[in-house]
Amino acid sequence: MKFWYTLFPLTVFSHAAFAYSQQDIQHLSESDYWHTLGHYQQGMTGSYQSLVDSEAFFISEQGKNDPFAELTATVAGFEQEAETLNGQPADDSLSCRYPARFHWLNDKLQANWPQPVCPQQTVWKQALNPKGLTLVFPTAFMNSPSSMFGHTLLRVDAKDQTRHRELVAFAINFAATPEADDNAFLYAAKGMFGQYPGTFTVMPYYRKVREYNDLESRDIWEYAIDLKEDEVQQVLRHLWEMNGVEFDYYFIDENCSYQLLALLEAGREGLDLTSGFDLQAIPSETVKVLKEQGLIKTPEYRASFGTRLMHYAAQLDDQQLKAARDAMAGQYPETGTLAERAATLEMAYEWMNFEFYDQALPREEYAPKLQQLLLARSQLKTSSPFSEPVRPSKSPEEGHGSSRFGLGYRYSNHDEDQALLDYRIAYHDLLDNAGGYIPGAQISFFDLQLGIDQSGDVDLNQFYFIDAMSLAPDYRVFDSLSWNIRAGYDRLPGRTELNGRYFVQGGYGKSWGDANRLHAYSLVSTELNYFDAQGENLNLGMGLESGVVWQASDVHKLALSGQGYINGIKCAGGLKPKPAGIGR
Amino acid sequence: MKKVIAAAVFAGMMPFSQAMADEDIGCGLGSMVFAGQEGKVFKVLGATTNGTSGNQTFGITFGTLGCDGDSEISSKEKLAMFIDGNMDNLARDMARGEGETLATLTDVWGMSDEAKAEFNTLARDNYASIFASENVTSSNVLANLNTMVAEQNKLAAYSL
Repeated sequence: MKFWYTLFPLTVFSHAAFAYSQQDIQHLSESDYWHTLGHYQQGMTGSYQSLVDSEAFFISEQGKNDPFAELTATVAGFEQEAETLNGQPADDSLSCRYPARFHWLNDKLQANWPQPVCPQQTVWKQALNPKGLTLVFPTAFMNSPSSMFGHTLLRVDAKDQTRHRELVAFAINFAATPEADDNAFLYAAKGMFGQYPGTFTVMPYYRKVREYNDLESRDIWEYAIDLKEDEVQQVLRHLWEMNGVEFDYYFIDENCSYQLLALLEAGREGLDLTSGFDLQAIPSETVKVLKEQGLIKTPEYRASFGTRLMHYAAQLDDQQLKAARDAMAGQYPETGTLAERAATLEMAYEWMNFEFYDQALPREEYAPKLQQLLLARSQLKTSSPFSEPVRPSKSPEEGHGSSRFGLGYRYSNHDEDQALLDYRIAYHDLLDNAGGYIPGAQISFFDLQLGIDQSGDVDLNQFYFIDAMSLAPDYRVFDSLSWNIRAGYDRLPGRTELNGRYFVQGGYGKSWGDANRLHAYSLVSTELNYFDAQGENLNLGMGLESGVVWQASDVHKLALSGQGYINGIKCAGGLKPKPAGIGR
Repeated sequence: MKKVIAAAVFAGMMPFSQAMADEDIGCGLGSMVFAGQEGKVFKVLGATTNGTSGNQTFGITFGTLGCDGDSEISSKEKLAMFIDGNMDNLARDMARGEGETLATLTDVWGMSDEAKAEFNTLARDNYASIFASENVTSSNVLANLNTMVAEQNKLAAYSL
């Protein structure tokens, strides 16, 4: 390696006119910014590896593992083109393919290379017309586990952009490309282990708004990023370098949010956004990092289809809702004021359209009905009687942190008292502060509880690998089901002692009330248990899991839950107070 | 990405599905959507979109408004693609005479504030002829809107 490095300058940098030295090249190849542009990460032993998995991305054959070789090859390429191209247009030249590298190196090395002429890129830039960037955060959709953490993408805000032109701005998305015929299990497993290639794509923002807001009913938050125009330009230059470049996509860490942060880092030298996300990158946490670095301010809000529908319904009384139901069945209102009839027809259209999407109803039957409702509405010459949803008081980055540490004490008649230590990696449960999160939804990973008794013995009381719950309350307009899934290890009270067991449990049922105040749920539940210290090791339980959650004040919640199973030995219940939490 | 698959499944079920059959269109929709249509609007659209469909893979990723990276896109094409990607939100907004999708449409069309207000009311009043059935295509909608604009004195200057 050393040998090669000393020989190289003789062959490549022999030109006397260059103002930079071999040391400059060496120095730059060790800089954080070069590592950002090459997506290099340093391993335990100090060696480097790029997260990019396309060989074509690297100019040097050693480029994936050798930032110095890649930089040397890049500079050599630019040198050569500076002499040969002479201002000729050449889309496939290195300087056109690597505009961010070119811009940065030309500046750092004061090389005075002539600007390359890249027709494709020029047209692309003109279409994007970039002035600013906005981080877009579609929150989780409560009944879809794969969306539970949310997603992030970027929007390129154009120079002539107004609020109304946002829809036709461009969106930058990073996503995995799964095999279309993989089933849900393969999808999850391959995603976990990086088996899908992830790539950046650029498309009109309205397509993403329709996908998240309308089709999946996810609220969208939009955070304008405080980057200067030339920093935005550099981000886009680097994005151009990422065209067609593949990364292995990992759901947990090397995911959409991580890669977007890495892309943003290219905008400003010295910006460090990714270093805190070695193990996991939850979208809401990545938003927090941008906030901590002072890069974002108060976000804009786009209510989802479902949120809008609930908001419309809240403006109607039960009788008006019934009228809307009748209109869905073809009985249009004949009496009432213009505004009342418009409200009925608009509500009926939104409601039916929501059910049409949500339940994938047959088009042949429903499209004509929807069309008739709009036709009837258009004949009423009045403006819409509905107000639009307002922005919730707390945005996602203002919510609690994703890890939790808790302390507790358990008093027992039959067993020794225990001091309890709780720790959870991620991310939100029913007893956490709901601000910034979806009400009635829980998803937690690696939920651990240790118990320590007076003699200093430590017991593993609980280790839940996953504990997810979706309690979509029965609002007046929705009729969705609630469910939960839980898997891991815990210890259950038996007749004389606690019995440790490994288990998988799932339930399906209903919930009632308002998740922001008082709500209750009841799930029919099945569980498979494996007891580690009993004669009859494996058993199957069927039963009921019910509970009530009460938001007593802004910061206090109380929950009462009970589980009863037949065939299983389990019969537990009680009050579960929220442990004193220290959020991350 | 699973959501994109889901989106594609849903797209086929939307009320105005002919035009929504593929949310990723933009590129290559020319011959498909505008086939058999007469008039200036369709010639412009057909020519451009047909001409670029060969480069669709690149177009869907890094292209300009869904089309390939080395041809510029005119405001008319942008308008047609916006209509194409937002058919049912547009239908809803036009039936009410207001809404973000409608506001974006008139903005992309390049109308003045006064013209926008006129257009919104006109679109609501003429809803029945703009969205003649649930099977109307986006190209029909654009043509119908253009006819409406051309026939109205205050808006005639904006006809395509």
